Amino acid sequence: MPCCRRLPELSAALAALFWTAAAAGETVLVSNEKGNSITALDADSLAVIRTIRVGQRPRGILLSKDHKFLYICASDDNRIDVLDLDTYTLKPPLPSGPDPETFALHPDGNHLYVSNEDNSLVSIVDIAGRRIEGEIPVGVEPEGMAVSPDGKWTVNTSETTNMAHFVDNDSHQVVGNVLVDSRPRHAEWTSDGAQVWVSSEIGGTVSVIDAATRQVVHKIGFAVPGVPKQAIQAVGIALTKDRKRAFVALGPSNRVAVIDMETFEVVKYLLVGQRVWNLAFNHDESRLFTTNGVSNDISAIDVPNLRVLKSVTVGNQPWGVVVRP
Amino acid sequence: MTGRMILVIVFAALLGLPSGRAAAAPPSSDPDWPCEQALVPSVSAEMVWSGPPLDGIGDWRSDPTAAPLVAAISPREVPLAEGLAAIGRFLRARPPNRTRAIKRAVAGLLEENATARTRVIEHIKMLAERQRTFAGLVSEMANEREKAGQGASAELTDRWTLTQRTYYEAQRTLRYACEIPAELDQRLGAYVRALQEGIR
Repeated sequence: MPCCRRLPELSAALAALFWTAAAAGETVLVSNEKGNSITALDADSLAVIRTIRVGQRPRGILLSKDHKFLYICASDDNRIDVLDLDTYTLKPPLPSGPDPETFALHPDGNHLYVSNEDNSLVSIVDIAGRRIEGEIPVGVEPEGMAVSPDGKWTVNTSETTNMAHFVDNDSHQVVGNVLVDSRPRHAEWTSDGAQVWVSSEIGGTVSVIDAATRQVVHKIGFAVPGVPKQAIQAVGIALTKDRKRAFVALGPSNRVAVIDMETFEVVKYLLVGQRVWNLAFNHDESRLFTTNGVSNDISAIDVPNLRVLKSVTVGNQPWGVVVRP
Repeated sequence: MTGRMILVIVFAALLGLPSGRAAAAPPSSDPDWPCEQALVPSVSAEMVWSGPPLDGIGDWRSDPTAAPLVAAISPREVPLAEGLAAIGRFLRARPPNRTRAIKRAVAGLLEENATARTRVIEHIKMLAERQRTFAGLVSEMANEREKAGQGASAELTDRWTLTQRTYYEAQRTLRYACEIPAELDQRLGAYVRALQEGIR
């Protein structure tokens, strides 16, 4: 059957065509924790466009609501750098409180909720006013930050207290604490605001919390044949908007777990670069990008086909990743 | 820095709590592990290798091409670029039974990495144990100095200054040591990826 011999080539060509269409015009932005830089890559070709020097120990990054600026937690400079993405120049930084590690942007586009790792606080930054509007005491070593889609709640995880703290964004008070497994790293709301998924690095699990009752309704464990349990450390989480697929970065196991969000079953493990840490979708969620902190690269995943397309070297110890549409 | 502040830092280090960048980071599930980086005791083939299974390849040490390669590029002193260049030469030389030779080289690198990692992890734990003992000493001296107040002798003050300086220097050493397992894994990963290219 001569027609079928060419099927793999045809499939690869179609995949390449789809890749181009899906990621065209988008830019992948990566923070390099030890390189003190941001790497900008073309999301289509994965060619490096620019490397920009920023403040020391850049970790959490996110886009402004209009996608014109990149906010960067410059942890060792105790500030938030602001990168103009049209000119790739730094604008005057924002205050952050000490040792900002990660943050989340309120849907109003004007408030950043920043985790201050060294002093057990969440700082609320008024972007337009360029000031810290409030501080919320939370558990020891605050880390993961996520604001609910309706803007009413913020969830912060604290690494040492092993809790997800629910903060009322009107009163700026912690109104609930949910115990999760050891060293919670990342929190992610589902698109409908019904659940919060929290990863635990040492525990190697993901706790799915019902947002209304603030109860853990599912706990997802991971097991990769041949990989020691201690290497399976759950960190970054990405959830599709249609609530069908979850992706969890599993640290030094060098795997991304793919989870069916309806059954909470792991359907696949994808081998990516070393010490996979954070994840970001492109705009239409056809691609997922991972930062790999030990191999100093990022991996691109074809989401519909659940396969790793390629890995590309970036800076020293890539940490955060976002995709500018 | 006051004696009370030193006490807080020392106790924080003893308890594994954060008290600024100089103090030990919270331990992982292993109570003897002092590093911020969670402990991964070993690296298996499955963590870095996606090629054909490595079983049934015999002893990698008996391979006339793979064994010298492993010996040449495994030491930490060998720059990564040099190691990768040696792998390039190994692949270009087209060793007999190429796939088996590549798999043997990977098996050898994994074994050498495991040996080096075990040694480093034991060393880090030993350093941490010493620091815990030392932290106790610093704590005792802080108490002694607090009790003496203004009447603290010059000798006690000198001893105190030296002790806390030594403590912080050792903490810095420990922080650097904590980076070594990841550095070893980085080399291993780069080598294995380069070898895997030879199978494709």
